[in-house]
Amino acid sequence: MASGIKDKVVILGAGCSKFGERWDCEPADLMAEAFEECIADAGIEKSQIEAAWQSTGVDAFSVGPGAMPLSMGLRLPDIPVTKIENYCASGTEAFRAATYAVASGACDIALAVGFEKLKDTGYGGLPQRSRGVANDLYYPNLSAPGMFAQALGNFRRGNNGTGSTITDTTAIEQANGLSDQRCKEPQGPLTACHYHGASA
Amino acid sequence: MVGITAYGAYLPRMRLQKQVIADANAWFDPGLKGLAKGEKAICNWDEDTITMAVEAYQDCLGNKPGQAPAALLLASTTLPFSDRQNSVVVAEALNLETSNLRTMDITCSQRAATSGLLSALDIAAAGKEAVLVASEHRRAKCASREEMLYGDGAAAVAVGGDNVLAELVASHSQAVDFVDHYRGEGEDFDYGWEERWVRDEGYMKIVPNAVNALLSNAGVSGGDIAHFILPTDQGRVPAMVAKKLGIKGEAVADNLLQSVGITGAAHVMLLLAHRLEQASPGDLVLVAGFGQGCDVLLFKVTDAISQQALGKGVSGHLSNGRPETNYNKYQSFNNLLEKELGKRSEVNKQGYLSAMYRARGLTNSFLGGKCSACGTVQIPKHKYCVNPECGAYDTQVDHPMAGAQGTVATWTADTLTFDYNPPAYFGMVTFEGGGRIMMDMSEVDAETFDTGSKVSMHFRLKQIDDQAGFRKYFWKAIQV
Repeated sequence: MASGIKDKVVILGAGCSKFGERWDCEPADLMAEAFEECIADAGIEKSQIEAAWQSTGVDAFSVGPGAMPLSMGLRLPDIPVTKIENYCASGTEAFRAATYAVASGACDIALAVGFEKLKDTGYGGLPQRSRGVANDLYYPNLSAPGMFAQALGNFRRGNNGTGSTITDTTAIEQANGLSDQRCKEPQGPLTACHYHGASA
Repeated sequence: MVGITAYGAYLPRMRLQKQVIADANAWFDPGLKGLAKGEKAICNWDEDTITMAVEAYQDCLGNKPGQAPAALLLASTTLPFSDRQNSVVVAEALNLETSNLRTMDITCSQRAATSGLLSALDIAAAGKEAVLVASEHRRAKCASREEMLYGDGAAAVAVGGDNVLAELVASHSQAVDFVDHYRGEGEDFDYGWEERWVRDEGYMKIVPNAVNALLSNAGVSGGDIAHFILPTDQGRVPAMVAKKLGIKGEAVADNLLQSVGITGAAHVMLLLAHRLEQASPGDLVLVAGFGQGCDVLLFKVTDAISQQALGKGVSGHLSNGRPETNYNKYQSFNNLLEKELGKRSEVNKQGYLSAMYRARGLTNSFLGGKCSACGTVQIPKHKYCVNPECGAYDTQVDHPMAGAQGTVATWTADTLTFDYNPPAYFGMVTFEGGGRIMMDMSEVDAETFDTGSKVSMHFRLKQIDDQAGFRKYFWKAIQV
C-alpha cells in the first residue's frame, strides 16, 4: 500500500550559486559554490552523504552525459551518483529521487544538485539543438518557450481575452526570485504589467 | 486513341513584384527597367522542384492515396538531387502504388517536359497510364535579365487511352546542338548568348522547321491551329513564329511573363494546362518545346474536355498569389547572397539515412496508424493504440493522412528557434477522422491565422543540411 513521503524526510540544508553571466566559471565551479553553502547550512560533512542525484537538462552544451560531472566536480566519496534529465523539470526530479532514497530507508542523507551552464553557445537563451535522430525527422521547429506558449491562446480565451493567469504567475515567480540577495536584476523588478505587454 | 486525360498546375503563392528588382539594380543596368512590369512566382524557402511537383500532381489527379499509374515521369533542370531519383520522392509523397511503378527523371534541356510527354504517350500507346510532372525552381544572378524573367512553378499532365481530353494527332522531334544558353556541371547559374541571335537563328528557324514537318505529315495547316504553345522568355517570339507558320494571332498562348515568369522546363506544361482550361471540343493544340532542337506535339481536344473536374488549375493559382515586395527575402530564400543566419542555424541537421528509411511512411507519405481493434487513428504510428480504452498492441494499419483536413488546436509564432522565414509557426493540429500531431505551419497569414483555423497538409522542405548537401522533407499545415 502506497504511503507517500509525508513526514519522513527533512531538508537539512540548501545552497545556490549567485545569478549572473558567470563567464569565469565552469559548471564545476557553480556546483561547488552551491554545495559549499548547502553543506554549511546543513551542518554535515561531505563524507556523511550516501547517495547523490545530478540534474542537467541540456548536457550536450555543457557537461555531457552521465553523472560523472557531479561526482568529480564535488569530489564526492565512493557513493552512487545518478544523472537525471527530464527537460526543465530535471531539477525537481533529482530532488524527488533524493527524497525517495531517504524515505525508503535506502540511506539517511542524500544530495540533489541541479546545474546548467548554457552560456558557452555564443548567443543568449536556450541552445538550438537536435531533438534526436528520429524526432528531428518530424518534430516541429520548436523552442522550449515556444512550446510553453502553445497554452497561451487557450488561456487567453479562458481569461476574457487576456493571458493574465500566465503573466500573473510569471510576475510572482520573478518577484520571489528578486527577493533573494543572490539575484541582481539590472532593470529593477518587473510587474505583471510588463508581461501583459510582452509578445507571446 | 491516346492523349491527355487530366492536367493540373501549381504556382507558389509568393509573387515577387518585378519593380523591386529593378529598383535595386537599375543603377547598374538601367535596361532592367524595361522588364519591370508585373510579378513572378517564387518559391518560399521550404518549396523546391520536388514539393511543387507533388502539388501539381495533386492538382491534376487529386491526392487520393493508392493511385496506380504505370509510370511517373518528372521533368526539370533544377532537380534537388543529382543522384537520388527525385521522382521516387514525389511518388512516395503522393502515396502512389509504388510496387509496380516506373519512375524517371528527365532533365538537361528546356524541352525535357515535351520529351517526357512523348515518352509518356508511348507508354499510353502501349495501353497503360502515365503521368508527367514538370517542375522548376530557377535561380538567376542578381541584376541579370534572367532574374527578371524566370519564375518558379510546376504542371502535371496525365496520359492514357480512356477519357481522353486531348487526343494526340501527331508529333515530331528534331535534335540540334543550338546552345542559346547552358549550365555546366556544378554551376549555379545559366550562361546565355545574345537574344537576337537566339531569336533569329534559334526560335525563328528551328521551331518552324519542326512544326512544318509535323503539319505536313498530319495534313494540317497553320491556320487550323486554335492554341499555339511556345514557351520562351522572349516576349515577342511566339507571335513572330506563329506569323511565320500562318498561325492566327489569337491562337498564341500567353507566356505568363508578367504573372508567373518563365518556369523553365515546366513552362510548356504550365502553358498547356492554362490553355486547355480555355479549349473547346475540336480545337487543335500545337505544343512546341525548344531546347537543343525541338519537340512538337499536336493534340485535338475532345468532347470530354468539358467534363474535366478541375483542381485550382493555372487560373486558380494565378489568382491565389500574394504580392511580395521584399527583394532581399527573395534573394535569401534562393541562397543568392551570403547571409548571416546566426549561430542558431548551425545546429546539426544530418540526414540519418537508415532512420529516414524506417520513418519514410510518416515523413514521405504522411501515413498514420488506425487501430484494427477499435478504429482509433494516431500519427505517428506506434505499436500501441493511443486510445486509453483500447491500448491494443500491434493492431495498427497504415492510415494515409496527407489528404486529411485539420484544425489548429494550439500554435506559437516562435522567434527564438531558427527559421529561414521567422517567426516559425508550429502547433497542434487535430484531424477530421481522428489523430493529432504537433507540426510546422507554412504560408501563414498572421491576420487570419488562429486557433480553429482549418488547414490542409502539404509536402515541404523541413531542413536543409548545407554541410552534407542534403535536404529533408516533411508535411506542414497550411491554412485552407
